[in-house]
Amino acid sequence: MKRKYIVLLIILTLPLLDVFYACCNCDDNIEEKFYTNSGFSLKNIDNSGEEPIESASENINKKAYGIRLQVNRQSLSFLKKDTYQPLFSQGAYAMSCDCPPEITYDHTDKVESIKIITLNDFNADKSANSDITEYFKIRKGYKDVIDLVKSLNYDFAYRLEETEYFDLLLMTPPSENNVQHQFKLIITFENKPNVELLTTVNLI
Amino acid sequence: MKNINILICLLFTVVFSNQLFSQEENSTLYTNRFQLKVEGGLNMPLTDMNQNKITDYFIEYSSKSKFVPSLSAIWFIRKRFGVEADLKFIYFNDGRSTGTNFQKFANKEFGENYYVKAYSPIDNNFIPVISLGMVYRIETEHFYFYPKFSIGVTSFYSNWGGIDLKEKNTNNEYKISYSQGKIAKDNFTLTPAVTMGYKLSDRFWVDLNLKTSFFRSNFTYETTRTDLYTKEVQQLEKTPYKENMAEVYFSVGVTYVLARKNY
Repeated sequence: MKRKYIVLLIILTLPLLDVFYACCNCDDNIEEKFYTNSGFSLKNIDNSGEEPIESASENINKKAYGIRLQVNRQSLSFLKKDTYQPLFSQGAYAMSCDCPPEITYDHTDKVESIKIITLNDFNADKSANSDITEYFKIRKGYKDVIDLVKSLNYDFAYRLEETEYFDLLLMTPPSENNVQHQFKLIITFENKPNVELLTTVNLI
Repeated sequence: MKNINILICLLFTVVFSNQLFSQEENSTLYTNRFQLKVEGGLNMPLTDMNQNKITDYFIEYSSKSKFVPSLSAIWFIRKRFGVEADLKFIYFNDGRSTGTNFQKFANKEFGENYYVKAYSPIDNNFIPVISLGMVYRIETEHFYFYPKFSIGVTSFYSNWGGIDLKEKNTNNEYKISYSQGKIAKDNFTLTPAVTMGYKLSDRFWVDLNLKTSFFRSNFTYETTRTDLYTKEVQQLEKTPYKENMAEVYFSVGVTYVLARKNY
């Protein structure tokens, strides 16, 4: 007799559990798309003013110098995914839940590292062809350049940001004034050849 | 002699008969048991909390005289004594101009060498002030005089503030922060007051009110400067706001007598 009650209780509980599960019955048409970083470009920026601006000038104040890395992204393809349909109840019971975004854009080419190399003697410690990545910082928050890797490998939700730029500020200026400098930015990928970008500037 | 005594007794009866029978239904003398009052008047701060410093812009407490409405209810528990609950509608409506003035002040202070962006959540605000107290009652047939004493809370916000500084001709950025812990400030307030009025009818009375409020502000703003590149934090200044504050509220009120009782 007691066992009968337990079985009855389980049978009655099952639809209740299903209602709870139905709360997370999200849209079943989820598109998972992919993108590639289709192009990179490098420009000099002058941060003397309130906001940094791209500069075509040969001479830039060495204390307000930076480089702008522009990234172009291209959507590639998508595939469809289906989600769970509740057995006893419909999704009308759903109040709120953390549904995944309806469209996602995942990266295909994985960036491994970013380096900035000086092609000239920079200061007493950094001669030509030295890695001076540590002298540059990402503009917002002065984070290390390596943190840019996360942004380049970012998986977007809903909308792909097709063009984005990142400003890298030179926080340790060269010791000498009015000297022409060349900087090479190298992006290494896990599954494709490196990208090398070059910029020239006269730091005054 | 006997006639004279009788005459005096008759005269006494005639003269004071009105008061002897004043506890009857038509009398308003000490019969008011529960009353509601609507008031409006000028609230005048007598002291100024401001110190002519940049942190003044973050405090949502007006040092200007303003028209303030209020509501109160008195319940007389004895012939002479009652308890009062009072609700005063204090407001601060200088949020926008204060924000603009803060930006101007920051520009003046730092604008020579920096690009300046000042921000603070300062806004217009509306804070009901509740006070509870005792009322002593002195009445005649047409006039009344109530000395009162209440305790309550005067509340206002002392916001945080920040200034972003971008140094001209360099890549350097700094942040000036102004903070003092908890934003909401509740200050214990003592309020002696007097009300004097005229009984227009059994139910409607009009009166003049004079309320004084005293509280002490007790908080200190701390100013820090952060170099956003090196993350170095430098403490610049401490600005204490420890002032004895006084306000006078002069108002006109209309009272409605809800319930009556012969004490």
